[in-house]
Amino acid sequence: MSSVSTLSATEGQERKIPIIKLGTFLLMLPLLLWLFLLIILPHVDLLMVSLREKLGYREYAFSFQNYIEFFTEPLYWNTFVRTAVMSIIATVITLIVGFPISYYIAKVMKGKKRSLLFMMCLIPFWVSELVRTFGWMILLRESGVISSFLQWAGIVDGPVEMLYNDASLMVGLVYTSMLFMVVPLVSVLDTLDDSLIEAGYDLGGNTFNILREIVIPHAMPGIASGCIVVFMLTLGNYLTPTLLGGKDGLWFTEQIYNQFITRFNWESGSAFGFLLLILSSAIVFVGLKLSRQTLADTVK
Amino acid sequence: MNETLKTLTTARMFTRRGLLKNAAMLLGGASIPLLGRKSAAGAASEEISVWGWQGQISDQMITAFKEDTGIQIRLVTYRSNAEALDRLVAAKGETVDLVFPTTTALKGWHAAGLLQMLDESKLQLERIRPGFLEKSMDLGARYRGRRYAMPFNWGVEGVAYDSHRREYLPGKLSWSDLWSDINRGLMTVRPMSALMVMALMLDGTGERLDNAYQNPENANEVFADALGFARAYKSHVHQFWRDSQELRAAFLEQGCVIGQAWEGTAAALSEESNNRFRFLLPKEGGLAWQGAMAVPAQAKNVDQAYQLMNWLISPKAAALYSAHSGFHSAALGAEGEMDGAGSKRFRDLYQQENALENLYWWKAEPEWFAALKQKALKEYLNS
Amino acid sequence: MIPSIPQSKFSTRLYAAYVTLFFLYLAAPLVVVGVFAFNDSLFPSMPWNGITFDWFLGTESPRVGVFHDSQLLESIGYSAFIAICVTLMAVAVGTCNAFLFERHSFPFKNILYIVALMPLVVPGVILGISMLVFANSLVNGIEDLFGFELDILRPGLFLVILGQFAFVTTITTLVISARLRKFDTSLEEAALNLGATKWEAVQTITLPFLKPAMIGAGIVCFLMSFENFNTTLMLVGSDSPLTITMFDRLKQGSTPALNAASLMLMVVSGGLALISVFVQRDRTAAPE
Repeated sequence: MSSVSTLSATEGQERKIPIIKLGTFLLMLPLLLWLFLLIILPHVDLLMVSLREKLGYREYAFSFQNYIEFFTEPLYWNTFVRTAVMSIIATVITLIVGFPISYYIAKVMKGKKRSLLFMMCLIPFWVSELVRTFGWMILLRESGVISSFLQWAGIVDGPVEMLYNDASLMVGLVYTSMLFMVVPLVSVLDTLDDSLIEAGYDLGGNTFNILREIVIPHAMPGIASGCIVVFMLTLGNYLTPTLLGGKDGLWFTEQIYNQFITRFNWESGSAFGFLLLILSSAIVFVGLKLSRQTLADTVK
Repeated sequence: MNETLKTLTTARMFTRRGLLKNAAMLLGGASIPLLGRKSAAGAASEEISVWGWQGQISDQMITAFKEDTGIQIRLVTYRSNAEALDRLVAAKGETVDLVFPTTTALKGWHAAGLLQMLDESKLQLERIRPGFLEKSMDLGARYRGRRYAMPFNWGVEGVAYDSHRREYLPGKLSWSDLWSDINRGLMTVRPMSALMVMALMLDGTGERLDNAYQNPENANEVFADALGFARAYKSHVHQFWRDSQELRAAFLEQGCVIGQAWEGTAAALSEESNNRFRFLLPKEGGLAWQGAMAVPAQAKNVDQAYQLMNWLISPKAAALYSAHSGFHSAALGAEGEMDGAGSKRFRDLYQQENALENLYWWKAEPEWFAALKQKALKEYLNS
Repeated sequence: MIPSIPQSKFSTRLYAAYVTLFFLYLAAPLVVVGVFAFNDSLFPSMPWNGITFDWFLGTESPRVGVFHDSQLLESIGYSAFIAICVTLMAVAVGTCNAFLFERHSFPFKNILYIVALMPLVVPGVILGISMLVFANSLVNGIEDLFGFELDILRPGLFLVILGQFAFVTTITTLVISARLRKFDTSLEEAALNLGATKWEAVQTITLPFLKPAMIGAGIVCFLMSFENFNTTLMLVGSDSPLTITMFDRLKQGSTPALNAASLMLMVVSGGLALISVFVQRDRTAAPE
């Protein structure tokens, strides 16, 4: 995933032949089938379903009812906002935790050690999210490792339950997103010339000034793509909130699952899904515009 | 316990469908019968094999279903979840199209691979009482992220008393009235429920009992405390009951004046005694259970099973069921269709102070929890 | 801040300590999952009761190890089957797409390219539900028209494969395109000059050149499919792959057999990840 660039190279040749050759068409067939049957039509259908109301068994009418219900029912609305806010917080924490690490890997470490450290950052993310979350459950639960350690060290008297609250949820979310922050940050900091930092010191700057004036502005594209990806993934996460989050704090994806599977209310489930898609796309779009990047840059 | 495990293992071996079959289906994809089948609309086979609880489906319901849909129900009855499970495991190859496990007992059925995933698009879930769909998923209908069972009925364990000799008021009566000194030697409880109620009363909110399901340390602690209390008050119990026969006998023959009781049985008692024996939910909330309907993996008349499930949650069928069994249907609007007495009984019990939200639901038990519970129960009865 | 600028010992050490702490944070959950696979207790939790291999090899209930847990084994089989199907399809289609986007021109190329990237932006849950809804519409439509129920489009293995394929193909397209872009077309032209047909030239020169990228992309696909949860959850039927089975056990509370399964999963995915890194080494020597 870390080795892709844009297609701009070929764009120049593009306009030469206006008619599609048979070979090209045959080659296009899988692409078109994939995009239309598995991506475009399902999402169009999702939109259609979200815009209908169930009158009876297999009887429907066009209606905005599902969206109206979303905006008038505080539970849904609150969950939506809560999910968005928590995702923003998780993104910010991931950035704050991940930036010094990326800087360390890109600027402080050199050679083999540097590659090794970078690899060590990546390896945990080859493991299923389920396993990682399971690990956090073993660490944080009442009869878990951390609780036992605290008791052994005499810091607390009895077992402490650290699972099923917003803090444990945050720990899990940040953990899961870390890779997607560190990789773009390392690659962008990599291109920062050491001499710029040296010059900054020569001109009498202190660490804080140099960070603010030189390093962060240079890292901006990486920060932007990292934040966009992390926010998007956190918003759409289902496993971590379900397993680590509290009983009262529903995640919006859980709400979608409930509508679809538990209550078989596909109409409002589709509306919720579409709203989440809009929020997610809007954030990506705004983020890309602000950082003047394209989607293709971000997926690098 | 060991017997059950053995059955489960056998069952699992039976139900293991070969990967090869699926692989052939996906890769080959050639033979159409594997990909799909003729839609059942207007199919000829109009029979369905149903396994239900004793006293659950009446002849009247069978006739009404036949009138409405033309489908004949062949009914086989059983008396407990364990019996149904064991017999279903043994009945591989036999046609069974619909069964009614208790939702919290579904775990064992899933583990044995006895049920099939429900296609919710064929069910009229909007007919179910709000909240029950979520509840059923939490209590055990969810398996591998999907729904394998539908809410069917529910009932409550509360307190029955002899109104000639005691006077209690709704909203005032508490579980602890069972154990008060004036009722010493005049009281009947179900041993398991007695322990659970003790566990519930430990903190009055049930939160400790909730936590007991999380890990064995919590459970041990809660059971030890409950057991301590239960033992100390064991002399208050005149008679333990284990099924509805014994419960009736405790009041009608043994002279008990108060006791834990199933709502349905209590309703029958009340009717027979000209309202002398009455039933109330304690202010802490009754102990509630939910029953489910599920389609066995071996079912042959699946479309008919869906028709029957949808019919059973129609207000009309739900009213027939409630009137016959004394338990509640999970369907909406059943009490409106019922005769005056049944409908009034429902309103009296549940239309006050969030009685419905206040219920404490029996939970699905992890294996270790069930083992600890049995151990505590044995100690209680032997003490 | 950089090695060439002298910093106080204290701040250097503080920084190093922070980095160490961070790697502890990264490693902790994985280590714990692995270690508790050997705990001689019925639950994956403290206290530590000594070492046992029961959670791998045990046969007697309640100590059924992974190798004797037919449910887990069965779901590993389903996962592998799904992952192989998804990988083969995604690499094949991804290679076609790479040639198409790199070598051909056709109308709406840019729009199609953007749409092809969309699966990266769509949350997995939503991809799952949209597929579920669409498949259901198809089934109902066909039933209404022909009176025939197309059961293969009901939730189940086939839908799971399609759902995973839908987003994994974006990855293969990107990875293989990147490699193809680096290909020197004069090599192919030379082959053509020597009398090879176009297809022969691609087969003997270009595809071998793409092989590392195809293998690398394939491994990534396999892992992504094997570990996918969100999309799979919405599309799964009665035959459940490993992640779904594990999730179910996790919610109910499980024996350390789950840890044993996780440990095996970690070892296999770690191994595959390393292989994929080595296969593509010439391009990823420096992280981009």
